Amino acid sequence: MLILTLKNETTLPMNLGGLAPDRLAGKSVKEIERIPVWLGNRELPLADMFTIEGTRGENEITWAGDLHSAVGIGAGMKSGFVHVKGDAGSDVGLGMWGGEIEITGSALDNLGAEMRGGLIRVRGSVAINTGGALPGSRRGMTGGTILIDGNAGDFTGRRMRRGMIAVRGDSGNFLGHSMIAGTITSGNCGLYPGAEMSRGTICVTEGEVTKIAPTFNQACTAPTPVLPLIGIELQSLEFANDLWRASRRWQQFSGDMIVSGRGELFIASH
Amino acid sequence: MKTTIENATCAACGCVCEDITVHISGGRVAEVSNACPLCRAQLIGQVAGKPSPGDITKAAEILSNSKSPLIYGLAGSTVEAQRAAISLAEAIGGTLDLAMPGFHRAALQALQTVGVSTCTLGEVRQRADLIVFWGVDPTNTHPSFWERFVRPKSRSLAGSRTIVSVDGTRPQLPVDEYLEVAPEDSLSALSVLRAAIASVPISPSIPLSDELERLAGQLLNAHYSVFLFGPRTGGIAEIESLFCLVRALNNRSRCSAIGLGATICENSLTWQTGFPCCVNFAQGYPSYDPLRFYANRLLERGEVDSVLVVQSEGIDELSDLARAQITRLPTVYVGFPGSRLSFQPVVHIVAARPGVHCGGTVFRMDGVPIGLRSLFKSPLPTTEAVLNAIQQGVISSCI
Repeated sequence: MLILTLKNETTLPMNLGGLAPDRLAGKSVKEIERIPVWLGNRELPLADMFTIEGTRGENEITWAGDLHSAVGIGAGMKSGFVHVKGDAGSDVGLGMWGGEIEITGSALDNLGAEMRGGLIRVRGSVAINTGGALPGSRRGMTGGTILIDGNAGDFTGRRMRRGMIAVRGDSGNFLGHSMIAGTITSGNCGLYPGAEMSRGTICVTEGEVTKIAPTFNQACTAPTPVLPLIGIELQSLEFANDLWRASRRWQQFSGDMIVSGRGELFIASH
Repeated sequence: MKTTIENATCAACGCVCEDITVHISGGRVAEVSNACPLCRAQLIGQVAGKPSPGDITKAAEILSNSKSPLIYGLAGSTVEAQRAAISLAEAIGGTLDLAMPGFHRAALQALQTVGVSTCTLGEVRQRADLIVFWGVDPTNTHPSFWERFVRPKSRSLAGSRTIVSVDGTRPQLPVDEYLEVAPEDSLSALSVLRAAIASVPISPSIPLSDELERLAGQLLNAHYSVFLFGPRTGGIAEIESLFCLVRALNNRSRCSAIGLGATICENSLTWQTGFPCCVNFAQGYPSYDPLRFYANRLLERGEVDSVLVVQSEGIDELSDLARAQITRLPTVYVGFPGSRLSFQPVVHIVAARPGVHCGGTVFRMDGVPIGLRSLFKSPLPTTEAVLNAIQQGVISSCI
């Protein structure tokens, strides 16, 4: 295992996008120390910014230190394990294909944006556009799982095509905006969950939604066989939830009717 | 000595009126006629100006020593100044972000995602038979808009025109119909309209559903409808929905949308880098991220170590925290005479105001380029000359 510890705290943006575990695997520590990374507009050897412990690059990296200005941790990774001790910055797991990332603190924007596979766990909260699409892009995440213990910001799961996002806390406005498919669960959420969604499933487990778009039709309030299956799947990933309770009643909406109306919005009924 | 300049151009707002008459007496603008209050406030009292020798070398030193410099502002700037700013941002490996209102930023992102059908203000004036002001009232921001484009004295195409306002408060303008929709309900209202146009049944218990159904009927029956949107229209989701509505209406008739803002400052950046704002050159090539490279966020998170502010207009867009950060950083300011600043720059360079002290080209809010003329023979350097000189200083310091 490699342990990379930030030497000097900085607020300037550090681009760590090229340091995925699968790309470091097999490299010696000397080689890894010479890998160039960007601090603002300066290109520096990795060893100038981080102390590197470990014998040889393996498929597991631990990042330590205050990394809230680090950009692109685990971006594009295909396999391996990345552990972030503390907070991480933007673009964590951006476009990742596989492997696992665990963040013990919080993360900023674009967490898991356009990811294709793999698993991201965040013990804290995340900012805007988690699992979403980058500007101008038609699709957000197309696979994989994002598990968030804290809260999520606006536009979580924007344009997501496949995969699952589970938020134990609350989400901001426009949860699952323009969603194409996939599954999102969240505690409470803000304005207009599922606006413009064409398919997919959104589940508000604590039952409080600020406002729903008028183009969602309410079908019924009843238990549903789908959500317990999602709950069991989340439990298998060690994400505690009570979706598995088959007796829970849900307000069930279909929408967004102005797009295709095949999306599902479940809101817990008290 | 008195001079009168006919057909002067005013760049005080996004209308860029070209029919202003300026009376100069005793070396200052004494009176302007055919002008709105914004134009009068900007032009009356203007003088040729005195050059203040700002320290170009110091400015170049601050920016070239910086690891993460930010160039911010350029609201109402000319194409020439924008090009110089882009070139400087590339030379110093910095981030370039433009000062623009939030709805304009949202519209740029919505444009990238869903696209939009738009038109010139000439078409609004001559052809539109239904104009909908959505979340915007141009009375104070574009005082001449109503008489120039909505109810002009002359209009080549005959026929009636209906003006509708959809907003949280009743506009001061004499519109034909008004629908009270709070900004947070904007997306609901747009969804109801889109459903009505697509003949999708929705619950009749929705507030204003009858009025919105009637507006949908008017939109479907119009030959040429135009949506004018602004600060209370909403964010990305609402503006995307508005653009989708415009697209749906174009299946039946002609429909366009225009943001009622200031002069457009993102065109040069778009044609030179492919991106309209929030562009970073740190790694030697332009990269774009409207979240990461948004000036407000960069400043709030302390991710910049020096700032070049070009023209203070538009800086109010920044949050209090971001503006407080500017006061703590080494800052270079290039702006017009008489700028009121909330921060103390290390280097302050006074540059000529386009349309007053120098010429140049600006883009009207509909994207039409319009040339500006100078009113005086001014000794002040242009913004592009100052930025080019700073760039030369940066290059010299690297050799």
